[in-house]
Amino acid sequence: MKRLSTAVILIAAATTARADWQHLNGQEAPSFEVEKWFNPAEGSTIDDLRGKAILLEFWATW
Amino acid sequence: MAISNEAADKVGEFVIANNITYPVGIAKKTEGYGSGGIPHAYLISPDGKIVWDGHPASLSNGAVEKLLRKTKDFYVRKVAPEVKPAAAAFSKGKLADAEKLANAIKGKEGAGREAVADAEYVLARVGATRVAWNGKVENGSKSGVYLDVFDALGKIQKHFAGTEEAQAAAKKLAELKADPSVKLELKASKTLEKLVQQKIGAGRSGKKLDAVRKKVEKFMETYDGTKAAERADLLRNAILKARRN
Repeated sequence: MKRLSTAVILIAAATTARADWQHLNGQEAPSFEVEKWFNPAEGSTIDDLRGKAILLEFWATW
Repeated sequence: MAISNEAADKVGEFVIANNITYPVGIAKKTEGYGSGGIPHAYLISPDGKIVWDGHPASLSNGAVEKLLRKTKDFYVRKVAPEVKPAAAAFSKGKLADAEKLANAIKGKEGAGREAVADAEYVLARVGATRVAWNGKVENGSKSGVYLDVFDALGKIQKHFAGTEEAQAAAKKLAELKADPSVKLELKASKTLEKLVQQKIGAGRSGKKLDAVRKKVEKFMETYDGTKAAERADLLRNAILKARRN
């Protein structure tokens, strides 16, 4: 229980690169709803993972 | 876990064909993070604060640990003296005890504001853990990955020992283990796992890919109607795609 478990979130973001990533250090991580999971995840929003260290990665298959 | 705004089928094929075992999901509305060059990662501390963002390749294991230490330590937070037994129970994994003790403090007349806030913190941690395990049970059942379901039910049984919740988990676990369709699903998952490895081992060899595809098709016939057969269909599509390239 004490150990920090790390969940890796990959986000396959195919959106065209406009604007830029928000640098949100120190701020609350914005929440978002997940529509479909491919490997079972713990909960359906990022808020369900409170208490875990999360590496959230915006990612694509290409 | 994973999230994508690409087409679900495309991501599903990629996940199975590359034997990705961490959760991968689909999310379309993530504008809170902005958008830009991919890949881009955010490190989020256990209390939900962003502590780092950048290219994932520039993040080492040591950096992860260091960054998390810098943040408020979610696990050794100092609590009001009366909440200490509840916090200790939580850290020992006795979640039912932690919840009971924290609830008692919260409901006690004349309890200090700090103690109530700390008790609420313990309750929130227990609640989040409960949500996480139940989510694993639900998602694992939906996708037919029963090893995850067994794992989560076992944890509920152990860490909420002595409660109705634990009894229900134990009952469900026993039922699932005795269920022939679950047994079939487990057997199918194991076989599919091997086929995924074979697909990866086949590399770009057309001959080998064709051989694996035939095995996958046979698997789909044998295990028709299982969730594993649905996953096998994704693998089959991935092989066909690899064959075309």
